Formats: sequence, structure tokens, C-alpha cells
Amino acid sequence: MKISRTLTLGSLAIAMILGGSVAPSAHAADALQLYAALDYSTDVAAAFTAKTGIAVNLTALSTGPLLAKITAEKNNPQWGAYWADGAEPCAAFDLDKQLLHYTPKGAHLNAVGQKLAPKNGAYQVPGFTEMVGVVYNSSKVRKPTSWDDLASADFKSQVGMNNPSVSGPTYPFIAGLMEQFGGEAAMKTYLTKLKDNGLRAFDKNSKTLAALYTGVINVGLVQSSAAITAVNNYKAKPVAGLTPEVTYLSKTTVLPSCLAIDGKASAFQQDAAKKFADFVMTSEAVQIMTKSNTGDSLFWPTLLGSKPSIAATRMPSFTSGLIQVVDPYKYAPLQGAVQDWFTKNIA
Amino acid sequence: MTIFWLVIVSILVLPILLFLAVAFSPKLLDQGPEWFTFNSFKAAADPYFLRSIWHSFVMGVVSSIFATAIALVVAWIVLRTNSAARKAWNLAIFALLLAPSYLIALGWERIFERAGVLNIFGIDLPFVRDLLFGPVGIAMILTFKGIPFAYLVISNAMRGLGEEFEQAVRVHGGSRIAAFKMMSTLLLPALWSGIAIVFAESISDFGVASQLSSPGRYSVATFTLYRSVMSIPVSFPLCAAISIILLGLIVLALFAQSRALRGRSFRVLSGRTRPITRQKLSPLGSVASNASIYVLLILTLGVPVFGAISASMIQGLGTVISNYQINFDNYIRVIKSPLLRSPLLFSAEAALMTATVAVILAAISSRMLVSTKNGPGKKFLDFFLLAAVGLPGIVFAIGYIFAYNLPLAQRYGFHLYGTVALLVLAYIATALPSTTRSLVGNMNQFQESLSEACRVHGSNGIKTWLTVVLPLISRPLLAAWCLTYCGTLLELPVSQILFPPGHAPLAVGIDHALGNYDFGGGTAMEVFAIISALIVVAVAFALYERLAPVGWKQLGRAHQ
Repeated sequence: MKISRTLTLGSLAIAMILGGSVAPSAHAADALQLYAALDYSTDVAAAFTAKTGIAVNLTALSTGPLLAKITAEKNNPQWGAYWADGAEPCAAFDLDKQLLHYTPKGAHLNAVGQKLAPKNGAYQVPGFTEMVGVVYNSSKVRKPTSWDDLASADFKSQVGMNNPSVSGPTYPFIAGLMEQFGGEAAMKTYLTKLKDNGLRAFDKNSKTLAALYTGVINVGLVQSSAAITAVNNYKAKPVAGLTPEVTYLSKTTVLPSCLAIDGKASAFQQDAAKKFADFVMTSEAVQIMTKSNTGDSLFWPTLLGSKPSIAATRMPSFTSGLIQVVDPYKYAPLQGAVQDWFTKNIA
Repeated sequence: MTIFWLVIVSILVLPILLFLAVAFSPKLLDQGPEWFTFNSFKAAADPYFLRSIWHSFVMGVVSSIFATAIALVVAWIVLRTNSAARKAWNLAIFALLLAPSYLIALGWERIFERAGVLNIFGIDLPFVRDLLFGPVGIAMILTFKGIPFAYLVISNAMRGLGEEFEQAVRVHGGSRIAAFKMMSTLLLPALWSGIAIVFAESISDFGVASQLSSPGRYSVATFTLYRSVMSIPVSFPLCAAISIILLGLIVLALFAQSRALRGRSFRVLSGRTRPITRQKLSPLGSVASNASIYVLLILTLGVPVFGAISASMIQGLGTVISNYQINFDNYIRVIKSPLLRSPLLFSAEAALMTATVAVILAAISSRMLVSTKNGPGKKFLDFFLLAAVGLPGIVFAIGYIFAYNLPLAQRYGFHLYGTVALLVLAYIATALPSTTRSLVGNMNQFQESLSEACRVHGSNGIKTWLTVVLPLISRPLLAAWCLTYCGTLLELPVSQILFPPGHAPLAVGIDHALGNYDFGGGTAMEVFAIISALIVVAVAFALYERLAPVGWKQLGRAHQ
């Protein structure tokens, strides 16, 4: 058995030495632990470090895996700040008393920002996109004009959407349907009608758009930023037979980008996260966020005087009368049951 | 052995048990208010979940039996006959292992989907499409994915089986079929290992499920489980309850394996094992064997290659009837981008460490599994090794957070969570079960008398291993190393949950590119990764052929 001991010890030593040789200071006390699901978070974090000297350890993933990590870490949270699209998870964290309430210093919100930011300071909202942008292949189908139109024979087996159980931004869309159709039952009736008309459900924006690109569907209900990006990509490299266009149906639901601070984090983490929130809610940070003019950068800022990137202005503005705001604290508690229903009946 | 068990408990048992414990005691890890409850099992007893678990079981049984049967025939053609196609198979086997199951599924989907390749050429086969997006399609692709696993196990064992047993049958008047039956019987441990691995791999596979499964069509347990883990809000107690039911299926597989092998000896590997003489096939046999190997390669490798190419090189496939473009833009972009290089190098380094350590631990584990002593330790190890294969990677990763993010451990300065070291340990734990299973067939053939003779003549344990055991299992060890390296390089679920900030592994980078609507770039990164892994495998085998002592390479060699 000596041989087993020697081999085991030797192999472990290899793993630990080699693993340790590239181990980062992931939990160093002097770095903010930022969990983010937005493309621009890397650039914003770098600018924040340059400005304040506070290092940021960025864990960049999509919303689902990030929330799974946060839930698994619940008895010993490792994150200082969480930043992603969608207010319902933050509202759920807040109802579970997991968040530190904070109002950033010097943030001057416009009228929309004041409407979207929770009064108790549970999370910050530097901007918003919209759910959903209806992206359609105008070479194959006509422009949809209303929610009922999507359930008509012209769009039979043509429509696809994201699964709200997997796609972070999609539950607010479902909440928006409940809000405008008058409740959960009406929303279920409508989605069932779409399903009967051949609705396909895909995991998230990228999968729904992939289905549109390959012609599996010709109408995709996705986040506005994803819809505009799809159109821009094809304008840059046109392909015959695929002419994506975007339209918005009344009502389109606001999807806030939310930054929350962990209420159980160490004093250093909370202090660094507050400073990060202060930075995010400045026009300097908004400029960095909107710079790329693609993907997540296509949003309406909520700060007075901050301008969106050019492509984002194709989304309906708050004053257009096309968009609605839903109360995340009302719809967050319903999320689990509604998504369960969606998975079993629509997906 | 204490150290070995400490390692097994730390990297394998503790994360699994803590994850499963949440099903009974959510409060234990702050996942709910109850200290002890069966509520999560009530939720898991929902017909929707039970149906998906039953579907997984059926898929596991069907794919493991078919994959093992096909692998046995292929191994015989490749190792025991002069079929010309055997060289093509030897070249393709690691490419097959590397092809992610979702890419195989994607390739098939691309051909048969609405507006897919066949549609472009004016062929519409809705009946075949319905079959593909259902149990038949899932079972077929899981079988294809399982063939290389079963082949590695069976071929390694077949190499250790000299031809004297088959000759004995023939000398006594037995037919070729009777000789084949005799060989199959002697290979039973490897066949059962193959079945067990493919079964566990199939019921834990998510790639195929993500492409072809859905609740509206045919849901399988991993699809349901992943959806539950990634759901917002996530319910880990429910996921743990589903996992426990899934483990019940693993117990059934283990029970079947142990019942089939109980009380029989398969120790055929000895100092007298001789090189075999390849059977010369008749012209008809030659055509049939070549055709079957090439058809198999087209189905298992050609289709995923098409899936990768169509995704990375063809712009607008499916939408366009006559004007699609084929180019290398995505590959050129990826070569220039530093975003590919660092994840690829990081993952290559992690895969290197994982493969090396996992193979050493697997050699010890497999030796223990085939030991004649049938103690509780052996059963314990057997169960957890198979449980780790059967549990989807994402579940394993969450178990690692539960185990290594405990406040108590961190209070005593035990900060492993969020480091590369923990990620590598998790990779090792994930790889260990299949690596061990791939060696069990060979270890089962090894006659203890060889080691005992060496020890009687004064050799110590280490020297005995190096001079007697290692030469006989060197090639299987190399194959297991390559298998682990390839499997780790593109591993996603564990990487996604446990990667340390600033060290995104390759699969996370690819997922990020795909999530940012860069389908061509993401798939091109994948193709590069597969090519790099094939180069590593080729170098490893070339070094073995060049540097290993002649005696090490004798086993399984055939007279031409």
C-alpha cells in the first residue's frame, strides 16, 4: 500500500503546486468581488480601478449561472456587487433581506430613472432596455402589428421566444403580459394561443436569434438590444434572403439594468461596492457602457444629461406611450410558479 | 491508503453528499427553512419530473447496449482483422471522443431541420425530423457518443487477450462465431464496464438533451435538472431530490454489473500472452468491414464536422437558398483575438494537470475495484465513482461550492473556493470515474501472480509497479490520459460555476462568444480547440512509440 500512498501524495502535490502556481488572488481582501452579466462590465470595472485604485475581481457569466452561484453561496456569500438586466431577482433578494440599501452619492436621475429606482435604495438602475424587440425576417414574413396578430394564421409556426426559466430578461416580458392583459390567467391564455399557433421556445436571446438566422423561425421575441444588434450585424454583412427588421408592439416592457450590493458581505466589500455604485451612476461610466454601440450597450440611460448610443435610439423612448413599467416586487414572488408553468406547457 | 481515502472523500464524496443532503435538510446550507423534510421529494414526484427520469433510464439502457455491441464488433475488426479501414478508425477515435455531444446533435439537426440542408435541396422529410427530435434521435446520438468510450475499454481489454483462447476453440472444431463468443465471454468485465460507463454518461449527458429534448417533445432528466439549476429562482433541494432518484438508476447499473461478473475470473493477462495474428478477411468480408467502419465514421464524425463547419463557415445557411457564403473569416478573427489564446492556454494547462493526476488516481482506484477482496471500501468507491459520472457536471459544481465555501472551513483559513487549485481538483474528480472505468477492464485481466512473483524475488512495491504492472498497462494508461485531457479541455458546467475571476476556461470563452451572438466565432474557437487536442494526442502517442521500451509496446501487437 506504500505505492498507493506515494502515488496519491505525488499526484496531489502536482495538482496543488501547478494549480497554485496560477492561482489568482480571487478572495483577496483588497478586491471587490463583482458578479456581472453585462458585456460592458469589464470596461467599467477597469475604469473604476483606474480611478479609485480598488481592484475588481470580475466573474462574468450569464444571469442563470450567476444566480445559481449566488444561491449556492447563500450561507457564506462571496460577492460584493451583482449587476445584470432584470429587477425581479434583485427584488427577490431584497424580500429575502439579502441586500444592502444604498443611495449613490451625486446621482441625478431623470424622470424614468426616478420611476425605476426602488425608493428604499435596494438596487441602482443606471439604464434600461426593453422586452421585447420583435425581430422579423422581412424577406419571409410581413411586419407583425399587435400581440394578437402574432397568433394569426400569417405567423403560424413562424414565432420563437426565450424560455423565462433560463433567460434572465424574459420573465419581465411575461410580467409585462400579465400587467397589460389583466393577470396571470390572461397571460397563460395568450401564450397558450401562441403555442397552438406553433410558438417555439429557445433558451435565451442568442439561441432564439440563431433559430432566426437559420430560418427555423422568422419572428423572434428577444431583448431590444439583441434585436437591434441582429439587424446591425446583417446590415454590415448582408445575406440574401435574410433581412431582419425590428418592431415594438404595444405595450413593450421596461427591462432595468440593476446593480445590487450584498448585505452580508464584509465591510471592505460593502464599502468598495458602494464606491462602485457611485461610479456606475455617473455619466463617465455611462459613456463607457454605451461606447461599443452593440449588444448590451444599446440601452436608455437613466441619468440626467447622459445620452444613449446612436443605435439605441431606435427603441421606443419612455415618452412614446408604447412602453410600460412593471413592479418587480409584485411579480418577483410569482416568478418560480409562472416559469414552472411555462416550462411544462409552452417550452 | 489513508491518504488515498482522504483524497477520495475530499474531492468526490464530500461534494456529492453535501449536495444530496440538501434534499432532506435545506436549512443545513441555508437553502430553505427546514432542518429535515421530504418536501423536495414530493415536488420531484411531479409526473413531469418522473416522466423525464424514466425517459433517461430508457435512453441509458438502449444507448449503452447498442454502443457496447457496436464497439465490440469495431474492436474485433480493428484489432483482429486485416481490414484496411482500421487505420482510419485509429485516427478518428480521439476526434470522436472530442466531438461534444451537442455538436453531433447540431449536425443532425442542421441536416433535417426546417430550412436545413435537405430542405435547401428540395427534400422535406417531416417523418424523419419528428423521429430525430424525439426518443429515436436522442438514443441514436447517445449511442454514437458512447461508442468511443466503450471502444476504448473493450479494445484495451482485447489487446490483453491473446489469441490462444480463440485458437483453442477453432482447434476443437468451433466456428468463427463460436470463437467470437468465447472472446466476448472473456471480455465480459470490459463489456460491463463499457455498458456502465455509457449508461452513466448517457443519463448525465446534457449536450444532446439541450439540442433535441424539450418538455413538449421528449424530456430527459438532465434537461429537467439543468433547467432547475439554471431556473430563476433556483431550488437546489428539488435538484438534489431529482439527483437522488437519478442515482437510484446508477445503483441498478452497478447491481447488474456485479451480478453478471460475480464468482468468475477473467484474469487472462500473463507473461505468456502472445502477439496475435490478424485474420485475413475474404473479399466480401473485407468490403463489408470497410463499409461498416466508414459508414460509422460518417455518421459519428462526418455529421458533427458538418455541424461545426456549417456554424463557423457558412453565413446564412438555412435562410438562403442559393446565395450562402463559405469563408474563413471567423477563423482569422479568432487567431487574431487574444480572447481565444489565453482561455485555450489556461484550459490546456488545466487539462494537462487533470489528466496526469486523474490517471494516477484512476490506476489506484481501478486496481482496488478489481481486487479480490470484496470489502465495503471497494463497494463505497465503486458507488461514488459511478455516482460522479451519473450526476450532471453542474450538480457536481454546486456540490463543490457547498463543500468548499463552508464558513467553518474559511474561518480556519481554508480558502480554496475561487482558486485555480479547486477548479483543477473538481476537474480531477469529474474525470476520475470515467478514467477509472476505462482501466478496469485491463486491471481485471492482470494476474496477481506476476506481481507476487516479483515480490517473492525481493522486489519492493514501487519497483514491482514500475517493472511489472506499468509495462502491461502503459498503453491503456496513455489512452486514459488522452481521454481525460480531451474531456477536460472543453468541459463547461464545472468551469462555468467554479472558474476563478480572470481565468476563464475555454468552454466559458466559447459560451461567452455564443451568448454575444458571435455564433461563427464561438464555433471556430471550438474547432481550434479540437484541433489542438488532436495534436496533443498525436504527440503523446508519437512520444510513446519513440520513447517507451520495446517490451511495453508488445502487448496487443499483432503479426502483420
